[in-house]
Amino acid sequence: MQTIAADLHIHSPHSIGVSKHMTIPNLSGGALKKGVSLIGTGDATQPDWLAHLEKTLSRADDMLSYNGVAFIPTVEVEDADSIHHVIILPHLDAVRQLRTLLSNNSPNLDHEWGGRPRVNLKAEPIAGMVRDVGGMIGPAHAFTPFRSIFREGKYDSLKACYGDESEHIHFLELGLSADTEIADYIPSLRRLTYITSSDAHSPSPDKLGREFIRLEIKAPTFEEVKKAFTRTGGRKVSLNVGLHPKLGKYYLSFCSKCRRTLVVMDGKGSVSFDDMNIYIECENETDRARLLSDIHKRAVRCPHDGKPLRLGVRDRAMMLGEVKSLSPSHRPQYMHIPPLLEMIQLALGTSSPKAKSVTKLYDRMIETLGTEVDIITSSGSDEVDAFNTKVGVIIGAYRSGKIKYIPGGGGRYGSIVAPWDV
Amino acid sequence: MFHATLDSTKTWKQIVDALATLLTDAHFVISKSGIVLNQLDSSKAAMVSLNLPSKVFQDYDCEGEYDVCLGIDELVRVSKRMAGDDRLEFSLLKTDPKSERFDRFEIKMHGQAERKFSLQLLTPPDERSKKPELNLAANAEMFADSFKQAVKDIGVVSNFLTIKATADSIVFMGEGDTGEAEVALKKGDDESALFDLKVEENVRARYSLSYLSDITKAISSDSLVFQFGENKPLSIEFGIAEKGRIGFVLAPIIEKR
Repeated sequence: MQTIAADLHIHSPHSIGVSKHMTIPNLSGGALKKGVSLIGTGDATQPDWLAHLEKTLSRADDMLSYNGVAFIPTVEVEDADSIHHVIILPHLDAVRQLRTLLSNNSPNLDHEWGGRPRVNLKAEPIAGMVRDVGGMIGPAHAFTPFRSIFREGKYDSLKACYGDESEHIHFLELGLSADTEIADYIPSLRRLTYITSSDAHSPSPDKLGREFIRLEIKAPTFEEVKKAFTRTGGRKVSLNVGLHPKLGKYYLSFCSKCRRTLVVMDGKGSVSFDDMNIYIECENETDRARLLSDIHKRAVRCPHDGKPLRLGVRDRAMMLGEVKSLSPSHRPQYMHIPPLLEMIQLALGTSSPKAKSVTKLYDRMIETLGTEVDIITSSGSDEVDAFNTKVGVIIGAYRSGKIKYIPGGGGRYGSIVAPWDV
Repeated sequence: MFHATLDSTKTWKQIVDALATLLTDAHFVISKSGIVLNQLDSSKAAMVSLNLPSKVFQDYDCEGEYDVCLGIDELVRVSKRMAGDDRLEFSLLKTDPKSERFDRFEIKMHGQAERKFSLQLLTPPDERSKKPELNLAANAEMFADSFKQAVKDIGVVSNFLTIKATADSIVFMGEGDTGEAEVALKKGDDESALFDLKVEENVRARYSLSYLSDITKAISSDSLVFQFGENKPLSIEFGIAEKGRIGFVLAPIIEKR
């Protein structure tokens, strides 16, 4: 069995806002530096990108690869409910078959910018087509407030979205706004394998593999990944790596006008607020569930300006599920850690992760210590300290879960407190 | 067993409208003496209370005491179906005659046709909320319309309403980014909308205008009584169907913890 880091959701230059440097050779180079050995091609149904994949990728056994990095055909589609889904396909022939099935229902499948095609069908028939061509489908960035299955006003369950196809859904992409704990508030999701992926629009190391999974599989092929997602034959996802959802813009519930975020506290007192937050006290779990349900019904007002509060990602998951998150025994660890470039940026105090001093130190560390994945998940603290003590302190604090967060919400990104400032 | 009739659909609609300003479900306690409700909104910024003694109803019969919890959306939808001259009949029912518990609240409308709606009872909360004992320094009675106008006036410039009471006057004030507004009422003037004022000490407090706007829309009587204290809650009470009372208690705005 091999341990392989995989990023299964990226985009090609044929999706809006994607770097023109996003080519297979550049992706392969970025992946090698990062330590990611398996990448989803993204945008596989877009004809120009499909032609690029056919031209650049070499085929051996069941594997597509370029310069030692394996690729699996993937595409993100937007359905008639404006929900995004990640589709993973076994080979390029399956991509062509899926293109044929989707062609009558997609206005932009062949468009230059049709990397993420719109499909004017509900999720259930799309999932049926994917199964017909031997692929897998699952919700993309399932908890973001936009274009996701669990956004407010959309579906409350996998079954409601995928209908009879729901039993064939094996994975769910958590997205930058959620982690395992959030998704496991919802009992019906606990059987699924959760994936973390970057949704990268650039091959640079702070984007590609920004979130990734570690797989225990025999080879980086579709069949092996499917076994890992269905947890058969000893294959599995053994680690999720991603940002803490507290850093997301919509983690906490919020007032849509003044953008104050909701902090729910234990107690019986009345509502209060300050410049940043609204404080509401709940006596017990029933009280808390009622509060979330009332926020969902737009019946809880901001004490500052009277506008209805809106549910954040965590509270939406709690409302859909239970007030307690319970992870099943098959659930792997979720390591909350950002890309190495961002940790170096924090250590050096620069304004950008692309500052020369940051990239220089990054390159030196990669040359000596191995790939970024190795450095952030398993390098020794002494080794990192030898390059920069503060980087060592940050990595240690993330790995041990001792990093302190100021949660985001209401469109305001969360932030971390530098360990030396605590 | 519970059974009651009410000749006025207007009264019932006013009650439902008042509850709907703050609540998403209504927890009534129905007993021999009448129907009572005391409930906080889920952010605990405001409370609504309802007291409908049995005499409000034309017929009233209740054996025992029942916690009856109903969804406000359902109550509003049913109330919208009531015609102005319908006579209303309320009862608790069991869908399974063998069951020990009532599970439906039936509303019958007797008019040109006899219509009935059976609403499913929701699980009531573990504890009944109580109306808080408030010892408030200022107590005033005034025209409800003037109170509503004051709230609207201050709303032109502000999200908050500050009320100031002295021995002989009540002043409503507000300020915002665009300016300030003030509405003053004097006691003792025959023309004044302020009928009565008792003030133990000069007090002022600030309240959310959005809550007050909604609360004032639900006020259906000609006059109201309001009480408040220095940075203490505001209590507003008015009569309904002669012997009934509806009240709201609104927490003061507390900024900075």
